[in-house]
Amino acid sequence: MITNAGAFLQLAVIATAIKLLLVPTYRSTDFEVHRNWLAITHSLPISKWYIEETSEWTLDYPPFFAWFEWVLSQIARFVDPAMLVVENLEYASGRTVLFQRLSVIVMDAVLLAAAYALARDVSSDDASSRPGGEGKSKPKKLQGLGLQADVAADQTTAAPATTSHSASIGRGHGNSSIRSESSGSNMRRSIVLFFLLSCNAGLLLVDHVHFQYNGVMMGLLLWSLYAARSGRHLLSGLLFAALLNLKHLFLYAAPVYFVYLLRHYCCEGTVLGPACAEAESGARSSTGKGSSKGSSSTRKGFGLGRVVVRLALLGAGVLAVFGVSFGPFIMMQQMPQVLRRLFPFGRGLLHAYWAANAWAPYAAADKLLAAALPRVAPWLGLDLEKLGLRIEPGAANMAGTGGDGIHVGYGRV
Amino acid sequence: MSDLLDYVGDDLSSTAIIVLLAVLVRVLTGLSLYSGAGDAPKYGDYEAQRHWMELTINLPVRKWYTDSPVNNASYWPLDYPPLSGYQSWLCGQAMRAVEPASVELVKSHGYETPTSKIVMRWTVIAADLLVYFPACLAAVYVFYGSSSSPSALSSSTSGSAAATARRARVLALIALLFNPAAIIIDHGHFQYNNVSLGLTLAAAAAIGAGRQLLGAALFSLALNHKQMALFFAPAFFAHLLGWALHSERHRGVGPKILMVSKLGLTVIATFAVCWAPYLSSKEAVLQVLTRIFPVRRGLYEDYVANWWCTSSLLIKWKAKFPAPVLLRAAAVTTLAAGAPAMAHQIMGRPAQPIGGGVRSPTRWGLLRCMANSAFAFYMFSYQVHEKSILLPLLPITLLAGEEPTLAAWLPILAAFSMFPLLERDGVSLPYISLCALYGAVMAGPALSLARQLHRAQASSKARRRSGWLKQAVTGLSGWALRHWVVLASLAVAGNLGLHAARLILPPPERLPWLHDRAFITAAFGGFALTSIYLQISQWLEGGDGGRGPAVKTQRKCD
Repeated sequence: MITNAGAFLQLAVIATAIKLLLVPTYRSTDFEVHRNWLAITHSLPISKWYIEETSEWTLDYPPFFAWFEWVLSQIARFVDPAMLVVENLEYASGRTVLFQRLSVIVMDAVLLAAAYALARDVSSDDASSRPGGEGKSKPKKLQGLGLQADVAADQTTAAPATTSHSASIGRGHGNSSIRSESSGSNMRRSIVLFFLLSCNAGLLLVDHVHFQYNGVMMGLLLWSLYAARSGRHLLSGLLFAALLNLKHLFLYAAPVYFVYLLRHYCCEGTVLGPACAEAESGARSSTGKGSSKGSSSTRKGFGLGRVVVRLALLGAGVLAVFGVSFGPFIMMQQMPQVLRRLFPFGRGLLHAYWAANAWAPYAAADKLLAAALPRVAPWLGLDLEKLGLRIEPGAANMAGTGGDGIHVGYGRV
Repeated sequence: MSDLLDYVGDDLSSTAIIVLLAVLVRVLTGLSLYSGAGDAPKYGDYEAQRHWMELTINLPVRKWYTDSPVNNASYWPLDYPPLSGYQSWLCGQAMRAVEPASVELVKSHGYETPTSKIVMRWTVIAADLLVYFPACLAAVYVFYGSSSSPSALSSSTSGSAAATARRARVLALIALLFNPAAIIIDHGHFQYNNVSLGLTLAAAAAIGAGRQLLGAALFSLALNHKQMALFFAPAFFAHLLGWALHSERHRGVGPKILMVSKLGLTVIATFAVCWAPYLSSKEAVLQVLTRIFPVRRGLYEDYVANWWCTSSLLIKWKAKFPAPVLLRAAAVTTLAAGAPAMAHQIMGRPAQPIGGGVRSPTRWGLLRCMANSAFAFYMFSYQVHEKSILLPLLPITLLAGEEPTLAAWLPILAAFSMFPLLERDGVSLPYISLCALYGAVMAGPALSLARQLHRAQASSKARRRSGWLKQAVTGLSGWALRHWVVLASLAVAGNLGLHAARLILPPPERLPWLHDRAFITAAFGGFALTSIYLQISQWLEGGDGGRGPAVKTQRKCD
């Protein structure tokens, strides 16, 4: 059981020290991007935020991030007011750099706190015992606070650390023998987890060198996961909705969240979802029936009413969050413009620097063909024009440039 | 209290991680500014080192210390001994390979491009990797053993004793590698202290491993790199003399005299090799000496946390006394401060059973004597500058397994004492980073190790064997350990308070030096207490088995 935060504090200080040392290092154009957004949100009224075009780095994050920049700009005012002038493109005085870098470092506190909460959660996992290997829909707040009584007293099965609620009865019978070592290895696991979350080298490079604010967003995501782990699914969903409004990149996780919340929150207590808290305690009190599905007497049929209510609650919550975020822009009838900014499909399939995704080999093959075909075709006696293949001039240029499309083939993709 | 070092052993992978992290913080510190950056026309220590590279690769060896139009006292003359010259030559080759314009004679004055800065920074890191790091690993191995040494595996010692020994090893390695003062001077301000400090450390390790001649040679090399290593000379001299006189390996007057002469010959031979190009004539030797020891400067420069500068607040030494008198006063006080520790080493230690003669001084005695000697010079010598605090720090960080709490806070205080200099250099952020990192990593483990050591010393069995002095010291450290929260809070509050005052309050018109004075006076207080403690504990060294179970390494050739 973690009763003190010694090792975590040390790791947090080490991570912060490294971030401080990185202050004078290379900055990418993203630094100017965020300075520009500080200036826009501070100096212009809301109606201009998504229209402003003085700088090429227009606002293309959702409104909550714009408000986040606005809050930062209130402090920036005292550091160096000149950075908040929209026309001051590429402005990077010493104070500006220090302020922006420090803002990333300070906001990382969200990430560190979430990592700590999760680490503590993980370390208390095996220490708690529950009959019949249940899932984790029961709130774990009480267990997380260090009630050790059941660890020593209860020598029966320990629940496995997964949240799979379909764990069968009787899993984890033999765990009592390794319980004495489990607290040591638990501590180790939680420290490793904290280290991986807080000292992530990739995050360091992107946030504290290249310059972005992913730390605070990762932190928010982790808090959402923490809420889910402790059974507070509605909160988890709302936090994720807020996160979506900070950086819509997280839309990739939306389907997962939707399915998860549907099952664990809306369908809780029904045959589709996990047993709910009351059902579980009811099951424990009844003797000899540690079935994971709970005794049938506590089931209230399919529970359709409950599903509908929960679904409505969740939907209302999410809509409320989005409403607060996009509301002003809906009222100003700027939604089309906002959506154009958020989803710039005109930019092309690939970024200037290719990501290592499925389109990369496709694009590589495309470029190779563009280079090779014109030379090889005469040997093979192929007439590219007759086959309908157009190869754009300069398509064989291996350097990636912005707005890359596919060059070989029937028209541009 | 759980802390990170519980999970760090001294196996290969743990050590590798520590070393890699040490390299990382050095690389990152190098991202910051350096001494005299952009400060035409004289610039600072960075330009001085670059200028020496320029001189050494463009001039023939014999001309390095001769005054000439391109090489004179008006612009950073080479004022370190020949080994520094050879090292500058090596670094200059690297600079010329990457960017020849950076070391062009005369034209490259004030040369500051990003690429040349990177090369310069990497030469310091290379020096670390080639000299300082291996020396640290060797020294920790020699003084604290390793998990695979037979004594650590003896079945009679309990698991906790082995754990204590391992903790001591790790603490010493971390203290040596992450010393914030050393990193920030070498990789921030820009110097090559790591070479001479590494050679000194290697010399101590060699002596500790029973290779006294090798140790003498290595220390001579260290002296030939930077004459500041003279701070340690009395300690090495006293220890080696004590060893030559009292070691069981050579009994009788004849062998002793032979040993002393062998040591002397080793030192002379090493000097001869280093000074070879200059031994052609007396003038050449004198030229080098006048460059290395320029006696024209004053008792102290800027603000140093030593006796002379701190007490000058009350007694205006420079105004009241002429320079020759002050020079003599400095020499006398330095000698007086260093004499007790030297005597302790030359006298050797009583053998057991008591009355059975005298044995040679222990290697731990050497380390403590190094610390005392270096502090004596720092406190009372002539023309000491604030960077000299790195010298006493070296043996103290190696002693981290024996004096954990001292090794935990002294390096931070040392960096604090140099803050006026660091602020001028523009390395305040690395200062904060490195001190915070060091403090966070060392504080907890140092405290728990100190408690373990104290428990062993205060046990009734150990108390029966201790003299009154040892019991007094043990009692005092017990008191300090019990009240560590109050003491630590006061220290941290004082530190932060002085920094905040410096940042927020402008100094009054008549006293523009107020903040600097406050810093060095506070630092002096800490250094004074430390050196008094070190003097006392030197005399407890090697006595009646005062060693706790913390370090049970073999006593091979003490």
